[in-house]
Amino acid sequence: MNVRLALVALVLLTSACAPWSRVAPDSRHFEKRGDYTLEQPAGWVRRTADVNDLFLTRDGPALNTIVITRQPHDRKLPRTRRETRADMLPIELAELALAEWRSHESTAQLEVIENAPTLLGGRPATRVHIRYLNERGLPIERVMVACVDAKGRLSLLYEAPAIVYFERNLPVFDALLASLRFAP
Amino acid sequence: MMHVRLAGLLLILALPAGADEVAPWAHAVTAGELDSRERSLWQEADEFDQALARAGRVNTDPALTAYLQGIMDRLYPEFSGRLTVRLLNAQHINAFALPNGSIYVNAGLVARFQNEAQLATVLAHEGAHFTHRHSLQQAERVRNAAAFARVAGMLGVPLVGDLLALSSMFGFSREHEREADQIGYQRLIAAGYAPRESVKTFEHLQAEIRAADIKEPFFFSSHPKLQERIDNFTELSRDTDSGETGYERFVETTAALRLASLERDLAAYRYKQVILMLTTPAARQEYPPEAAYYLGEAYRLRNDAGDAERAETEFRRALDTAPRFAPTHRALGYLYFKRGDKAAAAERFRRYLELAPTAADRGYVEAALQEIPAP
Repeated sequence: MNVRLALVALVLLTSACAPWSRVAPDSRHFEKRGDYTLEQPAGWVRRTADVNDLFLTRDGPALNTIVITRQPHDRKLPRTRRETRADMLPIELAELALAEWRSHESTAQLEVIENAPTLLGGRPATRVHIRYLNERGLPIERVMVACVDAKGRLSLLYEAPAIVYFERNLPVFDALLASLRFAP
Repeated sequence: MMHVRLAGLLLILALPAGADEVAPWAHAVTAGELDSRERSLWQEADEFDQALARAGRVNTDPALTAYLQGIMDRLYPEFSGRLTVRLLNAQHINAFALPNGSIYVNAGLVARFQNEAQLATVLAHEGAHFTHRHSLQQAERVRNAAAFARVAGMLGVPLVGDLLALSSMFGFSREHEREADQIGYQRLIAAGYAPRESVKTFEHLQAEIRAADIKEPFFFSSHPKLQERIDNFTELSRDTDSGETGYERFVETTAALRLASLERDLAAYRYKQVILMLTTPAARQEYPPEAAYYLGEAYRLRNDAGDAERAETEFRRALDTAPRFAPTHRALGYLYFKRGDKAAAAERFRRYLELAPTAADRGYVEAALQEIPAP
């Protein structure tokens, strides 16, 4: 009986899709049809089944993540229960993102390092850089660049422990941001 | 199904203490005087204290900490040095006691009160949980509940070995809460506080719960119904007019905390709480003139019909009474900007940048100014 179960488990494991795939230098291009394209960082791994458009990590989710999320305006944000609007100013979008994070129990001593207007694919956007302590007291840094348009809200978020990891891969995230192009 | 199972667990937790009852402490004890099961609980509590401090949750402002501790020592003088009050950097209305005598009160809860006697009501209540060793009694119930949960496979999570967490999850029994109310009330009177203020403590919290549409605040998760408590405290304090409210001391010591609390509430979109606080005349008078700006911001965030006009009225009031308070100029600038009154917006934005030249959001304001054509 145990042998049969082991065989079934083996078949299931080998036939199932691998949950992660490495981004090879020749497969960096990512396209969300009719919306935007960007270049993923080579050597990072991508979670193949994810609710977000992209979920990437280089050394593991606890050490660095890049998460790209596209949501319709009428999908309420989980904590503030607010919707976004296509006519939101970048500062209003930043204010809403910060409110979401501040409402999260696991972000203590949240400090805003940078909160400034920027461009994303040529469109007005917001860039918010924060530092906070997670549940274990570990300092974490997060940068989010986000914008709104007729389709909804698009956010690109990079997060890593403040010690060593954040600075190391920030240029990778900035390169990804610079590569984003909206579909005509 | 899960609810039925949880209801079963809660039923066990709510059973009377019965044989588990233990004598209250008569004086401050040390961990060395405890039996092994109670010492173990204290150790868990010590670790929880350390974890909260490590996670940056504890407000270390020396004046505020000393103020809170002074109230507790006045309420429980014989437990001075054992009952330790800490202020948590959290906005939700919550306070809790750990088995080792650590009492935590959230900054957001302190900011809801109007005088020291109201705050003392909560501290006296939490102190009673320690002096009457409710955690020890609760732990026995949780052990039984945990065993029951394990056998029934109810929660699907490991429970044994984390009794403190489970106690914290479910709070104390109603019987313990009623006892803590009674003991706390006696302590309040013995310390010379005005007992009638205890009623207002619960009235404030009831108003907040209704205004913010809070379903089940943790502080009250297993407490008697708020209205029941209001009725009980009203009855208890019917013939008592004396006692100190500690009004001036409270207002002076907590001024910065209460203002910061408004900012934190707004920053997390808890605008309902800000509207409640600042439209209550007795509470409003304890805030500086720029409070009108915070109320205007709360209306802006709520964005119901007529709120844009209400926000503008409050911003203008703030402009009249505190003209050098920079955020008001920015708020009015954006209000005019979105309305299409670009000239008025530009005037406010420029004044904002004059008053706050190093503002963190300078870039946004400059970007908005660039969109406004020169006159």
